[in-house]
Amino acid sequence: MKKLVVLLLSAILCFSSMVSFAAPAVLNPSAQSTANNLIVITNPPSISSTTQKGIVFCGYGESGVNVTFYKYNPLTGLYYPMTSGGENISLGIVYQSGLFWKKIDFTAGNHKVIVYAEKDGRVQIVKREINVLSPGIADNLFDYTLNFRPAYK
Amino acid sequence: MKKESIKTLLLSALVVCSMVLTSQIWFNEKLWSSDYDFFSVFKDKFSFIFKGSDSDSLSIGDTGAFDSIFAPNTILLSSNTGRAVYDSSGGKGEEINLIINDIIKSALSSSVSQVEENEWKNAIKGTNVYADYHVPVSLTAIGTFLEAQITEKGSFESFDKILIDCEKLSNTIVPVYFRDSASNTHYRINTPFDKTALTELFASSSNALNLSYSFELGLDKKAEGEASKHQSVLLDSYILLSLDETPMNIIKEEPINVLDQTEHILKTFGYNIKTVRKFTQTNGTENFVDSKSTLVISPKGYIEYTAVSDTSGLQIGEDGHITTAAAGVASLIDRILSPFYLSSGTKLFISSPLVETGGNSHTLTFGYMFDAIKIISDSDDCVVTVTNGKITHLKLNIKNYFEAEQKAPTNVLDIIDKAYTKNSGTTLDIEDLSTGYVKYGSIYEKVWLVTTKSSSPIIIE
Repeated sequence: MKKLVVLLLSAILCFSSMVSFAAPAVLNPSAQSTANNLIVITNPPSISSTTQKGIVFCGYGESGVNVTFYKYNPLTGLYYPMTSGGENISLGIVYQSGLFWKKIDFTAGNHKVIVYAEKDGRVQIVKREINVLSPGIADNLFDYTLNFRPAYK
Repeated sequence: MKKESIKTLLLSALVVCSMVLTSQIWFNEKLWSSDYDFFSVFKDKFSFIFKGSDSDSLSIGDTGAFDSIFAPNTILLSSNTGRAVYDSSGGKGEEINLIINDIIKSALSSSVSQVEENEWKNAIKGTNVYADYHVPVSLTAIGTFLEAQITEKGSFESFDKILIDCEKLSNTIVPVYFRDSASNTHYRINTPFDKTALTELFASSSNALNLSYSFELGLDKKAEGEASKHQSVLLDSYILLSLDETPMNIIKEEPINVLDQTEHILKTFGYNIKTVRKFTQTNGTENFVDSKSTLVISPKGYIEYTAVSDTSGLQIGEDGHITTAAAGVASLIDRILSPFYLSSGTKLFISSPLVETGGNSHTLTFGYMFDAIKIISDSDDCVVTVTNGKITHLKLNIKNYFEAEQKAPTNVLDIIDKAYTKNSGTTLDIEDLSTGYVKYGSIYEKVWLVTTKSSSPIIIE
C-alpha cells in the first residue's frame, strides 16, 4: 500500500511538472509575465505595418528557454497557439548563443501576437501587433503624397 | 642578245628575292634572333613609330573579358515577396549586370549627394537591385571602362556596393546609391533612366529566398542595461542571414595537363615557337627563353611569365591606367584558358582593388570561385604586374573544380551557436558570416567562415 501511494505521488509530481512546463492551450489577453528577462524581441517592433507577409520574429534570450507563438482571435477574445501544417508554430529551445529567429507568414490584415517564453516555471509574455498591408493599399498611400505637382518648373 | 636578256632576268629575280627576304627578316618579328637582337632594341627605342603595329598587343576593347572580372560577386533583387540571389557570370545575372552598368553610366553624368547611412538602410529594405563587388572600384576606373563622362563628384571616389532604388518605378528618375564600406560613406545620385528594363526584371525574377540583413532584424544593436544580460552575439549590420537551410557540398580539383596546350600558351605570350629556346626540368616543367622574357609551364597547371625588363613585357595597352591593365589582363587570361574545358562553376575573380594609385605600375590579384563561392587559398591563384601597359610578370595556377558530393544542409543559427561554443562561450562580435571552400587533403569542403573583431576567423564545417 505504501509503495502504491509513493508511486502515485511520484507520478502526480512528474505529470504536474510536465503540465507546468507545457505551453498553455489558450491565453487570456490579461495573462501576465512572471519574469521579464527571459527573452528580448528585436523584431518586429511592438506595433508595425508592412507589406511583407513573412515576418521574422527574432531576438536573443536565455539559453534553454522554450518559445511558442499565440494569435488573438477577435471572435473569442482569446489567444490561441499559431499553427502551420496542423502543428503549433514554435521555435523550440533557444540555443546556447541566445540568438533565435522564426519566420511566420500572415495574411493581410491586423494581427495581435503573443510570444510566450517559458523556462523552469518562469514565464515571459511579449505582445506584438502587426498590420499587414496589401501592396495596392501601400502604393495608394505613396501615390497620394507624391501626386502634388509643383507650382513652378 | 638572248643570253644577255636571260642573265638580266635572272639577276632581277635574285635582287627581288633578296629584297623580299630582307624585308621579312627586318619586319617579321618571328624571324628575329632569340638572343641579342638589334631589331628588338631598335623597335623599343622608337616604339612611338611602331604604335598600333604590334601584333602581340591584346585588344582592350574586348569588354567581354573585362566584364568577367569587373562584375559584382553578389546580385540581389529585393521585393515584397523576398530576395532573389544571382551570380553575375551567367544567364539572368549577366542580364542584370548589363542593366547595372547602363545605370552607372547614366549616373556618372549626374550630380551626387552624400547621404546618411539610414537612407541607405531604408533603401535596402524596399524594392531594389543590389550589387556587391567585394573590392573597391574607383569612379575613374569604371568611367573609363564604361566610356562615361564623369561630372564633378567631390569626395566620392570609390565604392564597393551599389543599390538601385526601384520602389517607385512609375517615376522618371531612379535613385542610385553607392556605398564605400571602407569609409562607411554613402552617396545618392538621382538619374534619369528608362524603367522598362527594370520593370521586366522584377516581373521575371526567380523564386525569392528568405534572406534578411541583420540590421533589419535588430541583431546589430548592442543592448544596454538588463536587456544585455543574454546578448552574447552581436552581428554586423550588413550580414545577410539566410533563414532557410543552406545547401553544403564537397568539390574536388580535376587535374589538367597544361603541357598539352604548350604551343597555344607560347603563342598567346607572343613567342616564336620555332626559335624559342626550351629547357625541360626533371619534374617535367618546361622553361622557355627568348631575348625578352622567360616562360615556365609546369605539368601541374602553373604558368609563370617574367619579362627581362619593364620595357620588354607583353604589350596589353597604350597607357598606364588600371582599367587598361585589368581589361588587358582579363583578355590574356581568357585566351590562356580558352582551350581548357573548365567546369561552368569554375571562375576567376579579381581580389585586388580597381582603384587608380596614380602610378603606372599595377599588381592585380585573382582567386577562384566555384558557383560564386570563394575557394580559400593560402596564396593568390593569379598575380599579374603591369607596368606602362606591359605585363612584366604573371603567375597563374590553372585549376578546374567539380562537385563531388552533397552534404547535409546547415542552418545559420546552428552555425552561430557552434562558433559561440568554439569561442569558449564568450561574447561574439561577428563582422562577417559567409561560406567558402577549404581544402582538406584531396577535397574542398564548403564551410562557414565566421569573422570576428577580436579573434581569428572561426571555421565551422
